[in-house]
Formats: sequence, structure tokens, C-alpha cells
Amino acid sequence: MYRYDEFDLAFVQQRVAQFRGQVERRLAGELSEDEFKPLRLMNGLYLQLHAYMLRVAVPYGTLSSKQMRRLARIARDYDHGYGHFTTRQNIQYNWPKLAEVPDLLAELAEVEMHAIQTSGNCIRNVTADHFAGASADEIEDPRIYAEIIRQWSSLHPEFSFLPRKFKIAVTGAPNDRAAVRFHDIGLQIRRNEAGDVGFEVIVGGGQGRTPVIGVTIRKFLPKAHLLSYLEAILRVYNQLGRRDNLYKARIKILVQQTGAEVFTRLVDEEWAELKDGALTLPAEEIERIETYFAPPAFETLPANSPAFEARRFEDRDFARWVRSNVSAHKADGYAIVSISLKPEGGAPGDATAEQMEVVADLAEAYSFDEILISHEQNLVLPHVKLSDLPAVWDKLVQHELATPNIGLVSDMIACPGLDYCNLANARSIPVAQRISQRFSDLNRQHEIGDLKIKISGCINACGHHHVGHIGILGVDKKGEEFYQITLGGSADENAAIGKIVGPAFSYDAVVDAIDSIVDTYLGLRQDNEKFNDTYARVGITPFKEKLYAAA
Amino acid sequence: MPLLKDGQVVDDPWANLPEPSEAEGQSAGETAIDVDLIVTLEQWRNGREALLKRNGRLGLRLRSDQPPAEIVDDLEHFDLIALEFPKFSDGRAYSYARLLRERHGFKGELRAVGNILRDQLFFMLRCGFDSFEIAGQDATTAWREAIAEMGVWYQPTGDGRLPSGVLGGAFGRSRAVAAE
Amino acid sequence: MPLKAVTANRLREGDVVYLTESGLWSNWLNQATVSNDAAAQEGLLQRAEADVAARKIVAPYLIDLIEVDGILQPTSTRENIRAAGPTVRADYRTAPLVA
Repeated sequence: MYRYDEFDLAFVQQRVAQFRGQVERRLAGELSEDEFKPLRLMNGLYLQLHAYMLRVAVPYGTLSSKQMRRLARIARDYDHGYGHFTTRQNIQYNWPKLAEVPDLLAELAEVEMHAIQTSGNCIRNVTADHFAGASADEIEDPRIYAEIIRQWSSLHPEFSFLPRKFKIAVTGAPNDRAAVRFHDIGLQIRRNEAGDVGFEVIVGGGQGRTPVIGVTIRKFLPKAHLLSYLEAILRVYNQLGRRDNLYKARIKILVQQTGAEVFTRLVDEEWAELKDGALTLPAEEIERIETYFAPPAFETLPANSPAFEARRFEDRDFARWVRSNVSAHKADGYAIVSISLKPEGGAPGDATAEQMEVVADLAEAYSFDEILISHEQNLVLPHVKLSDLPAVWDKLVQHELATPNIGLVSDMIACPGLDYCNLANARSIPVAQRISQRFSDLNRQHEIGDLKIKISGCINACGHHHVGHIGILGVDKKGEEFYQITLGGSADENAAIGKIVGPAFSYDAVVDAIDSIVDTYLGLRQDNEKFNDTYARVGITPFKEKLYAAA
Repeated sequence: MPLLKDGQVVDDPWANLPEPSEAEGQSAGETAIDVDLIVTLEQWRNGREALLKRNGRLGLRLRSDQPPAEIVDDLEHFDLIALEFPKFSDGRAYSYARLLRERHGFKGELRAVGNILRDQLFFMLRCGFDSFEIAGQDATTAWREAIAEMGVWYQPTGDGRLPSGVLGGAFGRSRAVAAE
Repeated sequence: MPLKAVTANRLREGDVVYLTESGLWSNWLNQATVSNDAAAQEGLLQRAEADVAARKIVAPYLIDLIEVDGILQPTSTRENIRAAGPTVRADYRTAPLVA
């Protein structure tokens, strides 16, 4: 994985010192809250419902064991002993004290981490496929380019005060696990007919109150031009994006209002001026970054492991976990392990300091010291030998990290909601907790199969409800929490936005409603049909009829 | 408002041409002919001929919704362009500044005016601004600190500072060697 | 006019606090000074603004309350959660959520 050079290190250290000065000026009264707010936001520090909240970037979702141990220590020393992994490959601490945040950031800098640009109207933490470097379907490791973009976008002098926040995601695989069609810019690594590797550039996707599927504005961008093309897009957006209305300020609205064709032309005109200039990526620099992400020294192993097969045969629980939480690896004899942060009754994405340390130890012992964070709020050990899976599982079980539910009904995305967030209208996490309790029978979950439920506590859609197979949106109705349900959304390569099924349900009734939808699906599905396929075939009416039959 | 230039607070030799409502009947032709004058885009468009007859230097002040592309052909007439930041969060002028410097070859004074915060000075400098109207007691100290805080950057801009990282790879390594 | 108190967050620590009669800020809603008089409420807010200037607290505002058996409770879910902690785990709470 990428290691900081001395300049990267100096950069984050200087940034910590700069923020320390800003905090001192705030506490000394030289800065008002209005003046300080944009400065703290550019360092990921919010003032939330109960306390300050610090959002720390996990660039392209990759952590070493050492970094994970540091995150654990910070949770213990500066917070209440836990952290919350978000949908954007960040970790949030819910209770840091303002006066201590500079020290916290200094601790992060020691392990090559930071909170730069995890908030504010700037280019946010660049995200990538959470199976990067491990999955068999990958053309190239997307993190090479995510790192290049991270450098270019860090404290960019021109693009630190954009009309609105700006999110970029990169995937190297045709099976999209990074939701590239729902980002301000999505980059899909492609191989063209000549066999060269480059990027399909997708612009203007997003969720929020206006969910939009991004449009492709360039089918194939050669690698060397990645940054000049991104700069062209950002420059067009910075000048033309709306600044008069917060809700119309994202690039998706600009693309809609100018039209994709005109927008593409504007970008191409700007790019024509920038192309082949100082932003051209030298091949040797791409290669230099590539070496950081070179595959670890995999052993030459047979495709099967007798020890693994034996355990799978003897131990039903282990076999069930393998079925849902273990994915195919590109190297024979290895597997990708997903660690669920969605135990029954738990808060999706929360991990205690102790659990973080357990995962760090496992990564060190069994996964080449590497951990990935998924946008679905789970953790991944990307390179585990099949023969080590039983030992890994045993350890995970001891620490409530072995819930066999990846991709299943209880593997929900949920935003922090009204329990933590200043913007929320309704709670999200308790809804997820109650749904996971309703579906506590794991065998039933496996029988239901792949089903993505996503819950947001307000229209900002941090819980990705628009792209849930079943989406739940919390709304406020005269001071009471209500939940609107959408069906048929999808964040992957079959990108789709869910449709509202009907009137919202109360906090008490929403779990029954989900149960009813799942029942309707099970009654209607043919063979092993997935939820969205059944929904596409039968339409919304059968779900609606059953849901509102009593009313 | 103090004016910062080259890290010093300096007297501003420039005057703004008042709007007609502010100074009755006064027009470009009537202000002292050798005063260095900053005009708005509207004043320039309406009074171009008279303004060009003056002896003093001419500056142009652009709002953040007035992209400099509109006056590219007139750039030769201006010794100063002032770009407005109506709110610190309106970042359009960062792009305008780079376009003026890097694309349109503007060599005169590029002044940041409006809601200018100390913590933005370095970004502005890197985008090509070289003078700043900044409120506050001790602008010189603020400047010194703001410029010294970050010694590493990753982006090549027209200011010629060489970046670290992938876009300054060769330079980065030579700097590393020099530091040893 | 409903019963109201002033809430804010402490500047240095960030925690939720309520203005008390003595002018100090307490973490406990039940120690808040309350009023159902509009002018008095405005007065409370002004005292709070002075403490914003004094860099003790940030973002003060008035919240609606009801008194049940001598115990002050916010009327909104949001303020209830602010007063007593997240509802996601029993050990994060300082009091049960009142519907």
C-alpha cells in the first residue's frame, strides 16, 4: 500500500500545526464561530447533536494494521471507545473535544492519516472498490489512481471553495462495488480495443434530495490525461455551478441544466487548453505509485484447501459464514473475507476499540497487513489463505465480528440519523437495529438471499436509501418520526433509483412494513430470482396492495 | 481597508471611479486625468472612449459573476484587475485568476477584494493574486503566518512553485536529495 | 407561551448544556432555568449570547419543554436525544427516551 514520502509527511504535519493555530485563535477569540466553521469543516470537524464529531479519511478505504490500531487507540483516548465507519470510507468519532482535536490529528499524522477535506465544499476523500487488489474481475487496482487524485486534490488552491461538496469514486472492475454512477465524478477503469487501459468518465451522479444517475462524458480517457481532464471538469463546475441555492449547487444540477452534451463540450474546450500541460501524468510516476499497490507475495497454492473443506463440511455455522462473507480471490488458495459490522441489534458500521484491534491483529497475521473499508460499512481482509479461514473465523466469532450476513437483509446501510446528526429528521440506527432483530433467524436471512436495505434519517440520503433494493427515508411529520419506503433502487452497474411505494409508516410500523415487503417478494419470486428482478417483473402493485391492505 | 502587497501593508495608489449616484454628475472624464482609476465592467463598457483618453493607469473590477473571458480582448488596457469575493465561500475568482494569469497572460496587478480571510491568502497567492484587501489589525503578521504554514503542495499552477507528488516527481526526488 | 429553556454546546468540549439560574451552564436539563414568558425567554437568550462572546458556549437557542411530575422534558425527539444521549445503545443513554 501507499507509504508517505517525506513531503507527504511534512504536508500532514504542517496541516496539523495550521489547525492547531486555528483552534488556538478560536479559543482566544480571534476567530468567531462563523469564521472558524469553514476552517474546522475543512479538517472534518463538525458540531453535531451531542458534541463535536471528527470525520477521518481512510483514503480509498485502505488501512494497515498499524493504522487500525491507532484508530482504536484514538477511540479509547479521545472518544467513548468506539468509532463509526461511514459509507464514504471514513471513520467518525462522535465525542472528541475541540481543544484535544489537534493532538488527535497529530496522532493520525504519525500513521500517515488525516481528516483533510472530509467535509466542506471541496473534493472529498476519494473512494474505491473495497475489493481493490484482491478481486478476480479487476482490470487494474483503482487505488493507484485514487492516490494520484488524492494528491492532486489535497488543498487544491483553485478548488477549495466549490459551489458544493465534490465526491469522486474509482473502480477497476466491471462489477461496480464503488457506486461510480452515484458520484459527482465516477471513474471506471476500462480497456479499449487497442488493449490500453484508461478511464470511462461518469459525471453528475448523486443522491441527496435529487437522486441522479451519472452520465458518461468520455468513454475512454488515457491515463496520462487523468488529472488534466479532472481539472477541466472542476474548473467548469467551479465557474458555472449554482451558488444561489444550496440544493441546486451540486454538479448533477449543472449537468442537468446545461444538458450533458453542452456540458461535455464545455469540459472538452477547457481540456483542450490544459491537455499535455503540467498536469500530464508521466508514465514513470504512474509506475512509481503502482509499485506501492503491487500485489503482496502470494504463495503458490492449490485452488482448494483440505483443512478448509473439512471445516466447511463439519461445521454448519462456518459453512454459512463462508457462503455469505467469503468471496473469490484472484489468487488460487486465497479468499476475500468480509467482516460484518452489522451484528443483530447493533449500530451499522460501529466498531469498538477492541474490535478494531482484533481486526488489526488478524490482518497482520493472515492478510498481509491490509484491511479495507467498504462503503457498505463493513471491513474486509482482502488476502486470506483458504487454509487460514477457520482460524480467522474462530477469532471473529469471539469478538462478535462473524455475523454471516454480508449482502443479506440485515447487512443494512444506515446513516447516524437523529441519534447523532444535526441535520436528521428521524432516527436511522434504531430502525436498522429493530429490522435486524426481526430477521434474527440467520437461516431465514440466507433463504431470502441478497437484499439491500438502506436507511437515511433525512433527505440528504447519507444512508443511500435511493439505491437500496428497499430504501427507507426518515421524515418528520409534525414532530413525529415517519418512514417513507422506496423499492427497486440499485447502486451497482445496474444503477437505479428506487420508487416510493406509498404513504410513510410510523416508527412503530416501519419494521412490519419491511417484513411485509419481504414476504411479498418471497411469495412472488421464481427460482432464485433477486429482489429487483422480481420487482421489475411484477411491478410495485403487489407490494403496495399487501402493505396497505389493512388501511 | 488595508492593502497587502509583497507581504507589506502599503498605501493604495488606486482610486475607484464612483458610481454616478455617489458623486453627482462626475464621470470618468472629470476625475483628475492622471489618477490611477479602477472601474467596474459597466463603467468600462459605458465610458470606454473617455477612459482611454486619460493619462492615469486603468484598473478593472469584476464581480464574481463576471468571468474575465468577457474582456479578454481588452486586457492590454488594464494595469490592474480586481476580482471580488462577495463571500469567502464564493470561489469562482480562484479560477478567474488562474485563467487570467495562465491562459490570457495578464501580467499586471491581480487584486483580491471583498470577503478575504487570512486562511485563504495562500490559495489566492498560488492562483496568481499578488495584492489583497484584507481587514484586520495586523495584516502583515497574518500574511507572514499564512504564507509560511504550508510548505508542501501538490498542484502545479502558474506561480511556478514546483509541486510534490506525482506532478513534481523528478523535482520531489531532487529536493529529497538536496535535503539529505 | 410554552415553557422554554436555553441550550447550547460548550465551545471547548462540545457537550450539550443548559443555562441555569446562576448563569452557569449545566449538563443536566433539570437544572435549567425555565420560563413561559416571552420577554424573559428573550432575556435568557441574551445572557447566552454574552457567553458566546465570552467563548464559553456556541450556538444557543430556546427549546420547548413540558414538566411531568417535577421533571423537565423536551417536547421534541431531537431535544430529548440531545438531553439524554443516543438511543442506539442503553449504555450511551443517561435517561430513557420519553415518547
